[in-house]
Amino acid sequence: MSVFVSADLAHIVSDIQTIGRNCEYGIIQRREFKVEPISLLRWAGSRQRDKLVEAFRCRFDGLAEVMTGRGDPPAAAPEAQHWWLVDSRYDILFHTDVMVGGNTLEQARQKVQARLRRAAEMQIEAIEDADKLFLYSDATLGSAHDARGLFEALRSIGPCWLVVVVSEPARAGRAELLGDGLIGGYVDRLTTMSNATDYDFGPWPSMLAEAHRIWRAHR
Amino acid sequence: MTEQEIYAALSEVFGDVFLRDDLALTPGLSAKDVPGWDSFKQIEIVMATEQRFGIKLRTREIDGLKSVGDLADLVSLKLQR
Repeated sequence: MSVFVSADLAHIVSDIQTIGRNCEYGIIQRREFKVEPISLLRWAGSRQRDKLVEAFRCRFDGLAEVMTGRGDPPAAAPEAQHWWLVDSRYDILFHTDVMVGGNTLEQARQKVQARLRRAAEMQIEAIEDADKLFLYSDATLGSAHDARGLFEALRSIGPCWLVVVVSEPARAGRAELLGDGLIGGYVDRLTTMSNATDYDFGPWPSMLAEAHRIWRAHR
Repeated sequence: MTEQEIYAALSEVFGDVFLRDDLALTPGLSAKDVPGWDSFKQIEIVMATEQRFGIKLRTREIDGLKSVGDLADLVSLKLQR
């Protein structure tokens, strides 16, 4: 597998930006490739796909206006916890680097609001420019086609491409063109919201390389 | 604004973001050289730089930044426009 973890693949991984559903791909970028791009949804979890679609349709209007939150890890002392904030309108959970100790929920929200809104601007601009391949992985999807609503929401912003990663062990490590702008990517299994660090890296490199090749050949 | 003035202003930006006054900015300094320089800090650097110089950076410009030298060059270019 080490043949895939090359400078070229790190470059490929930098070209592919996550839009959810959880942090799995963001963790893979960091741990396996030492890649650290700015991305609104990289350290986030979108708990309802239809709300994520709405977020893109609205260009994240009003993001971080109203948020609820809790400390993580839950059992730790406040001085060892970071705030996890949930945007109430779009039901997206954001990890933050704001400590619970010394910061009320409202103080934490104020600290991350400007950052999230600037990241949202950058997200929309990246979709308009279409010089990234966007990636959506979701353990609850039966088929990549089930994310078509999300793809159409992205396409209402710009001519970008989307690879939808689903769990399909028989085709793990492969990717295929599903239609103009839409790619299916396949892995053995995907993590859920609560276990994003427990990923199976095996099929990811070849799947990402193939999805990137398809994108570069057809865009 | 001279290159020296840009680096001096960026030193203030980095000092505020990392809460450190001992960071010596050089053109080659990059995220791998500074503990804690992750994507959270990167967006803070971008926002503080935009505010400090009164400029707006485009996403694809930010994506191309690999070091402090790249950022200083981009700031210089933006200020000339």
